[in-house]
Amino acid sequence: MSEKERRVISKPIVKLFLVLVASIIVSDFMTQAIMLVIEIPITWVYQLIDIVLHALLTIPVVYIFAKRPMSELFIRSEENLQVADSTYDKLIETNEYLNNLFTYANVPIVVWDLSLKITQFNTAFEQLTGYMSVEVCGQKIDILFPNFSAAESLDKIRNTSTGERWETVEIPIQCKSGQVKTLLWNSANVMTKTRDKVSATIAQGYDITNRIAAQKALAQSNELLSSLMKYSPIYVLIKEVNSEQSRVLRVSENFRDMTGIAAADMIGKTMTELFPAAFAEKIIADDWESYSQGKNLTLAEHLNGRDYYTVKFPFTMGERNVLGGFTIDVTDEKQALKQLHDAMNSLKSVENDLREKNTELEQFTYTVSHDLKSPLITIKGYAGGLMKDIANGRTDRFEKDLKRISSAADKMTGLLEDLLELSRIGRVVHPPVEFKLNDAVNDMLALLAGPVKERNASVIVHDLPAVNADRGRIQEVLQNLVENALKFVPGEKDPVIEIGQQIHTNGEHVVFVRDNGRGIDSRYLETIFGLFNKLDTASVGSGIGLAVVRRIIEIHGGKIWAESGGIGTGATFYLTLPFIKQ
Amino acid sequence: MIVGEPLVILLVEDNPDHADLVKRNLEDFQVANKIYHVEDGEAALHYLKGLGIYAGSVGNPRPDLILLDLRLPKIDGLEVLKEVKTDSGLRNIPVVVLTTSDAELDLAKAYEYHANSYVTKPVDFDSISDLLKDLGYYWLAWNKRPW
Repeated sequence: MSEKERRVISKPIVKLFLVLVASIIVSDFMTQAIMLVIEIPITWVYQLIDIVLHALLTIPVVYIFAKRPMSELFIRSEENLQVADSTYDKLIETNEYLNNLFTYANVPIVVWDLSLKITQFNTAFEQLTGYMSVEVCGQKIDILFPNFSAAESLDKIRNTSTGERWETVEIPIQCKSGQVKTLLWNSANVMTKTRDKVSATIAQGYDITNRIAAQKALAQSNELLSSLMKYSPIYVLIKEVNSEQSRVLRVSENFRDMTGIAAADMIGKTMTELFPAAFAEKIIADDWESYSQGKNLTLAEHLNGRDYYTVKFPFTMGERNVLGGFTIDVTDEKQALKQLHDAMNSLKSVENDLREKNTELEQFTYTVSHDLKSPLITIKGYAGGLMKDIANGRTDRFEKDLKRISSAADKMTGLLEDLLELSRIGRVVHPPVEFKLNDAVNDMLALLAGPVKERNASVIVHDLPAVNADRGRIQEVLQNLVENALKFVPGEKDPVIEIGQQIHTNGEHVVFVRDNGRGIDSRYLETIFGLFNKLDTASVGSGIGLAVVRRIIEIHGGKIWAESGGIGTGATFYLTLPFIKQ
Repeated sequence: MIVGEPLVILLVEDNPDHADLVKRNLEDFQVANKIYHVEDGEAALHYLKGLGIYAGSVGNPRPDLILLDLRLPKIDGLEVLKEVKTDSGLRNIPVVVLTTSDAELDLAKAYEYHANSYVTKPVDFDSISDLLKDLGYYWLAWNKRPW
């Protein structure tokens, strides 16, 4: 029989025994006292009194014990022995179980008493804090708290003493190393037997340091993202996409400038809800292409007269198909670029004009230096010769030399007039009018009726296009070409002149003037258009005619060129002008 | 003075008045010479190469000097110069460019094409006379030729 079993059983018997002994002593003492007072010498009386007193004192004792069945004392001791035995074992077991649970639980557990001193501190807590149980047990709980929050935390701890129970309270603790960790606590109170007071508090902590750090980082990156969305000058659009539709997840606030809809109101909306149907359809297709093929897309987009440059990039966000997009409004840049381009083009055309003028000027200088000087040399040369002849009394060549001088002067006058005329073409431009080229040809032929008849020439005129040009000048061109044709058909031949048009495969109209004259050597097809260039020195004219013709055509933005199969095959002059296409 | 055979000059000049002035001056100074005159670049090349109307002709003796105007009908004077100076049979004939043009480009081109001399026609009778006299003396009397 163990110590505890003995205690359970011996208690009532010892009590009974002690009460009985005490009652006998008390009754003996009282008997002696009565004997002394009444001085009864008779022994039997003394014995009687002794018995009565014993009875009086012991009966109630026995009665009290007898009230609980006497047998109980014995039976109980038998049965209770067994019950107590198993309860005790269970208690031990539970205790051990709890001890192990406490000691080796994964969660840090600490117990403090009413004076807020730590009474228990488990292994998990040791691992968490670096403190050993022996270091902290008996210490006040605030040994675990960092300075900055110790007072506040102690208040929370004190509240548990008044019976408050924590579901979750966040209390930071400071490890032995000084590192501060945040724990999420819950507690339970251990009450006194009377269950009206807290005798100790058991609390478990859950380390949420990492979680808090992660939450903080998440909050920060969220804040960063929000700032980006708020202040971004670039349009940022994050969408959830599928093959049918794209839906806004996040959007930068500047999107209001593009769509007229506040960013907050765009969230959750589909492309179809936000943009014109055709544009939305294209976005959805592009989005899906980028997402499904997992590749970045760079696009030029146009919406409401503005140009955008967009980059789309797919990424994964959990189960969602997410697509990010950056868009820049490049309308102004594009416009600026176009303006720059236009400016450069007009500069180029100015440069070309300038070059043309320069060539013209060079041509003019050359002409002046040669063609005008030439008759001057003749004049001065023969004048000098004449003077010498006069001095020598020689008269035989007077008339001839004077004629040379006179004709050189005439030639000079003609050249000056021609030059003036050429320069006028460049300076005086009549506003263009629309007219039928056939009408101009008819007017021109009316003017040339005399020479045409004189040469017995036949002029065939086909249907010609209408043109937008300086009518007087164009008529001049036609007249010049027909006069040339008449001039270069040998005298013994009747000139046949044909005026018509060709329409090339590229739609370009070309008008031609064809003759059956002497033709042009292929080497001179270009030089004939030069100022004062003449193929035949004997021919009439200064050689300015085709230069004037080319000048007029070029001023109208057209071209003129000559073709010929060679000497004896006739020549054809082709020209283009701002024709009006029917 | 000049001895022996009269020297042959080919005058390429489109202006008949100028040609006459040249001829007259050269005659006046009695340089023993014979002037052949053509009026354009094509005729000049035909004369020199025995082509066209000069084919098989004896009317085109090889010149001892060419007086070449630059601005000519049909084939330009510079073109004639270039052809003469690239023709191994003709290139050693001295070519004097005699022109009204004092354009720098013409001057530069003429020397680029190996002209032997470049002179502009003076607008003054005495100067023309002096020039032609000097030209005649220099090229026909003083200048030594390998033939």
